[in-house]
Amino acid sequence: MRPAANFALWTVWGLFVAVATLAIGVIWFPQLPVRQPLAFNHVRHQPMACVLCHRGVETRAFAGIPDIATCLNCHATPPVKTPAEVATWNTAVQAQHMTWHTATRLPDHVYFSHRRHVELVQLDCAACHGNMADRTTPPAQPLKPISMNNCLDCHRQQSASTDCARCHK
Amino acid sequence: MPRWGMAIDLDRCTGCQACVVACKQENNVPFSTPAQADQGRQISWLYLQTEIEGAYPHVQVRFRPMLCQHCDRPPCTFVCPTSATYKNEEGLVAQIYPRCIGCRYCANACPYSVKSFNYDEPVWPKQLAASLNKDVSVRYKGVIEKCTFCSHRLTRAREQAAAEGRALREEEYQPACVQACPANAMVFGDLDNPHSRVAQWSASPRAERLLEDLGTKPKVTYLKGGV
Repeated sequence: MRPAANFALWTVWGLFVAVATLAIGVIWFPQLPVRQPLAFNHVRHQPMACVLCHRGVETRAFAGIPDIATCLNCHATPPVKTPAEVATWNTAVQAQHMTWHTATRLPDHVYFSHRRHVELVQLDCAACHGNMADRTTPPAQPLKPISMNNCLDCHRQQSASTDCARCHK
Repeated sequence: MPRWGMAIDLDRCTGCQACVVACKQENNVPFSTPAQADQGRQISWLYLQTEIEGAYPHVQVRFRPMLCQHCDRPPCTFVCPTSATYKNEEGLVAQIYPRCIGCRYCANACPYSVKSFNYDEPVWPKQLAASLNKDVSVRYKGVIEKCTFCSHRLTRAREQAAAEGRALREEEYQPACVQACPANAMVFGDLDNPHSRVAQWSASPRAERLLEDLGTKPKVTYLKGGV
């Protein structure tokens, strides 16, 4: 084979591998990893109910993310050990704000009400969020992928409405 | 199962356009530029159509609020290739934006011309960007949009009723235009409930439905001829 033809073949092959890798990455990792300011340990906080920190899930559409004031209700001293984490904690206490990042996100065209699912239907948080209670570190990705198919499977099992307009806004 | 519908008394309508403003604000309907309007590309879920009747000197002007008629036999749903628009079991003709491929078959099939196509990405003045209604998504370039009878309000009202352990009361679900009308020219409710005002207005001898001979069976009724 001539060197030019060989080069072209390798170029096409390289492009194919790059596109395939990108496609696999997009399918498997649809969002960038989420890095939390502190390595929050959910196991350590058992058997507290989720709603103690994630306030509003029973009364509102949106689930609350706890602010530093919620942590300070129980923690008088920094509950972390490494100097970097202690510094993050102290900064958050001074600023009276801790920036936790949401791992589970819904598209803008979807209406989802935590109140309807948690309070009215008594759905377990793990049904959508996976077993967060057993996590010792925050996951970089949602433990369970949120997809319309998952929603529809559950709605069919529970004989809930599958009318598109109920959830698409 | 209720069958939601609307009745509008044209003799009461003063043409104040409060319904138009309320609809735009409630449903994040974008503003149109003069250039878009010149091309017939303005987006409106509800607009006032001026109708002039009679001849000089006996001329009468009416304002007819035009919106999706939520037909019982909606022509738009029959031509949609992706089921992005469909009639649900409560009679609401819904539009699911992520499914819409922007073919505009539905807009052409609609005899009432009440479906709008997004030729451009919506642009909001900075001051208004924060006041968008979170219960309604902002549509994007390339999809059709139209009146939904504020179905997000139905979702909210149904949830509130369930939280209080009771059935949904008809008056809890009112579209923004009906709520805003200062002349009480619009009523909304269950057409199958003979005691509802909308059913009574729809059965009035003054009632008319637009282009009824096409067989679309619209669920918006207009009343006129009372004065």
